[in-house]
Amino acid sequence: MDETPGGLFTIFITTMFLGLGAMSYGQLIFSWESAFFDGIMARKNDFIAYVRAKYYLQVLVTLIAFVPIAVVVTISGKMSLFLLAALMLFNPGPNSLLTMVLATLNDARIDLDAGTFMNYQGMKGSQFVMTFLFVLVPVGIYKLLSLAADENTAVVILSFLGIIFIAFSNWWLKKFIAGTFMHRKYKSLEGYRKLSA
Amino acid sequence: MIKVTNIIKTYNKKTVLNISDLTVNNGEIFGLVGNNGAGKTTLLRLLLDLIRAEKGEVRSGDHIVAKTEEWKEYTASYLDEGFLIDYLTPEEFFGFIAEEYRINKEELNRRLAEFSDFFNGEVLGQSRKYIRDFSKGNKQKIGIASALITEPGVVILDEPFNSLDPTSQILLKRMLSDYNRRTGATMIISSHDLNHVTEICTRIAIIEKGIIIRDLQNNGQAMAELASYFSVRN
Repeated sequence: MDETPGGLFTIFITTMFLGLGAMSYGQLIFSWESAFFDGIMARKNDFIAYVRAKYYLQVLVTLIAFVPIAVVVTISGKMSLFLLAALMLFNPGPNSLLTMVLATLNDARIDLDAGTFMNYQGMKGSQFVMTFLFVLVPVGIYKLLSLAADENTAVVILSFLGIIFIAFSNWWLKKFIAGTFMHRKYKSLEGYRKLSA
Repeated sequence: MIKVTNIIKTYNKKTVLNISDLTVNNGEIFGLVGNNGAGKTTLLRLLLDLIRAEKGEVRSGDHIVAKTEEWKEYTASYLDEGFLIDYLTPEEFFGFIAEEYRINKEELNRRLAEFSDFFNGEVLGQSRKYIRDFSKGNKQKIGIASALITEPGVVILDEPFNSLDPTSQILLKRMLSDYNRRTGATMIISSHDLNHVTEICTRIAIIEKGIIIRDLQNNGQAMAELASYFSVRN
């Protein structure tokens, strides 16, 4: 594959490692509590705070992944640190927020007491495709912009996109994520009640 | 006051609940009896806005339960194990509920102390024993306690006597009656044990195939009527 600094393959793999942790959590965002949801909804709850906590956890996971990747990137010199930072910002920006919006449509129940061996609860083929797309989009944006303008502009615009989404994350969490979930609450609750995953 | 108006609930085109008018008054202990599949749990879930009815509405006081959240402030319920968070210890779970309802630590401990007979030394202080590792009966006790510690004005319990041993059943009946007398709370309790229901409820409704077919004030005659209804008819 492409072995030049900032080669497409390197960028792709790096983005994947950056986002994988947050996305695996985010795609099943509400399913983690699926076994307890009737109780959560019947009680007093601060749903916005609950959704916000889930978002912050994804931000944290991305930041944790960023540190070792940044070290590797700096040592190997295969990619600019600015580009890495821009890709990192894209994760808690559009990626995590859009993942959460899509996850509100997932009614799969996860039984946390089940063993981990061969446990594919809540997993659907569409999620693997989604992960792939979420990696492809920032890489694609970067590549297109660096062809259209130059690499520095691409890094700036990519970072800008990430920051804009992060700045408006509260609005997304309230309007789209909590909003969509509440809108189809009954359907999700019914899915969560189904014992077989 | 809880008011159910023109509710119709269907599953796969089959009507499972059809109640045109049901009002549970403040301070009543309302018993809901019926055989399996009669629609008891469906009705309770509707009261808590956990399922959507095709038609009609449920009001709690002035609030339409499907459109507001305010009723959750004063309503506590335990329907099934889905109301527990089973990877927590009972202490952690009660602490979580207390946090949601802004009950401070001393107050929580004071309220939990009232359950010490009911818990029979088997629930609290079991170092690192998670709710999922407790017996069915103890899970039931944890669930009921988690509802009552919030000191609710409306209590909704589904089959609270299930899986409890006789001593605990008697204690629970006493606790529920005492709680109602002390706070004037409205209580809705489903059961298929006629004895328990007639002992504590002030009003009893029989539900069959989603329809409330009898609605009796518990004035001493109720047991005979219930028994004649549920006895096998040829």
